[in-house]
Amino acid sequence: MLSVNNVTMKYGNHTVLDDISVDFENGVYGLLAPNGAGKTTLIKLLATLHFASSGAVLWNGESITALDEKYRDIIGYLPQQFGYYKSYTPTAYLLYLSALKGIPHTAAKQRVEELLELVALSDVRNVKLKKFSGGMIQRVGIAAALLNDPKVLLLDEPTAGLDPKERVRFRNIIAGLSKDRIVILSTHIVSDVESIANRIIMLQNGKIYCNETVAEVCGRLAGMVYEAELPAAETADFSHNHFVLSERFEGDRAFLRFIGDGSEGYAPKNAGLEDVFLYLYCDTEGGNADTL
Amino acid sequence: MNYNEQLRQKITAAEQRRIEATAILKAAKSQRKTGFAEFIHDMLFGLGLRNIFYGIYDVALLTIVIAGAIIALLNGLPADYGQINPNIYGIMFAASPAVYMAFFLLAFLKERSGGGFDVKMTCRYTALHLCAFRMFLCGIFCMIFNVAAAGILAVRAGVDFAEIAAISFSSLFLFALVMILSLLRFGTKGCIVPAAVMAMCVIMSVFQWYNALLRSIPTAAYVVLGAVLLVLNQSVLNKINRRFSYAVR
Repeated sequence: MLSVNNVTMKYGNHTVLDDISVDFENGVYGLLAPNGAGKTTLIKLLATLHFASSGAVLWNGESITALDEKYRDIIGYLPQQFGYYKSYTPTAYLLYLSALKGIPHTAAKQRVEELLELVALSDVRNVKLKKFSGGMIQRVGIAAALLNDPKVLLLDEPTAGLDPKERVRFRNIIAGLSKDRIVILSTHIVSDVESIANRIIMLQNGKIYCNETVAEVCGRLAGMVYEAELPAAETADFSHNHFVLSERFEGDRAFLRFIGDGSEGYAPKNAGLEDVFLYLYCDTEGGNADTL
Repeated sequence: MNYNEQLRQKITAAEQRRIEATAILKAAKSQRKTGFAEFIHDMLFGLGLRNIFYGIYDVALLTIVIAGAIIALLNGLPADYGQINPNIYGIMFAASPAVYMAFFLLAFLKERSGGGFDVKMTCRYTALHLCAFRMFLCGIFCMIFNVAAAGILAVRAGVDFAEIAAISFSSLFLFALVMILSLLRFGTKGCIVPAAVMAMCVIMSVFQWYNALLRSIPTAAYVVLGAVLLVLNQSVLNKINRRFSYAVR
């Protein structure tokens, strides 16, 4: 089990993470928050790239700092920007990272073949990385993170730059990997985690706002989400008086999804994760956390 | 919750933290402390030179070319150059650090800009291990360069071999220490410090008083200073091996 115990992370006077505690067991954890909320900091903390100002991160009860290379041996990490040498092929680059991870060469060759197959890059295994698209590079990054068959997989905005088809492929890969490992996936794209995450962790003002299943998170808005059909010309007035989650126009009609109290006679709708995200992280200072 | 329950909860939490802290300290104490020799052995035979220089073969080649060019230049000097240009001591004070800097800074910047630095920092052999070992090898290369350059100057230009070799030896490890400490302290921005020191050394080398100052220090003092700085360098590199009290951000 991976435990974050009373961790605070400060940069100068700015507190990015404020006394957070959370335990991770096998499964997919969606770390969901807007940009700048501290997701990357938390992921980097778990990847030993940052060190907490106070508190500790423990793997099975031992500090990850004290475990040092033993901990690094069981983690896989995909950063937001996956750096690579442009003039090398994915096979060569993955073999190089395997060496850095201490994987014997013969085992590494087999593993690299398997992973290139998994991320659908085996056809271009000998093409130089400079010819790859952003999505293909990201898939190389995913393969790199899986080289040592990690027990803890840390993915920081892994679907950035992927097209819809690649996103679906990525989600399927992650879902398949989560049975016997911890997968922590940081994103601000709700659809990345809605269908695959066992638990959603949302950060708010440097603290953990919630650590719940998707159903539990959505349940926070139960009976509060409504949909109204209006003439398109009336949307401005309606938006002025309601918290509108989304708008959709069909001809001169508008369909607005909004937060309400049911007093206007509209039928309540099932809340989705995106509704909670939009409501929690609205532009008002501090968001709407207090009302959920 | 009444006062007693609150107090009990606080005590339990404090006790839990104490147990965790003790476990962390115990784990830290029992951690294997590898020596520098084991680090070198592990890097050479565990990782191999091919992987140590992976992605920076071009930088290594460029460094060899720069060092070769300096040697060729020195070889072309007239026989009495040592007498004609007394500033040769200042130039040699900057020469081997320049070779060292050319290699290390280019390799470091290439690593930081596109070499997957963060991913490497999560591997068994981290980017810092690679940097430390490359510094070690670069130090050896520069010492060979020093001896060759001092030998050529002694034979071709009539300068004192021991004196010029000792000056280069101490300057190399002084510069190496400044560079590693500034990189560890300031990260990539720390590159400015060694570059500024290098620029200052090159500018100073044209002044005769500076050369006279360099020559006024006994050769033995340079040797002792160089040896002390070498040990300090090794100690810092070993700290990187034991890692990450100095994580580069």
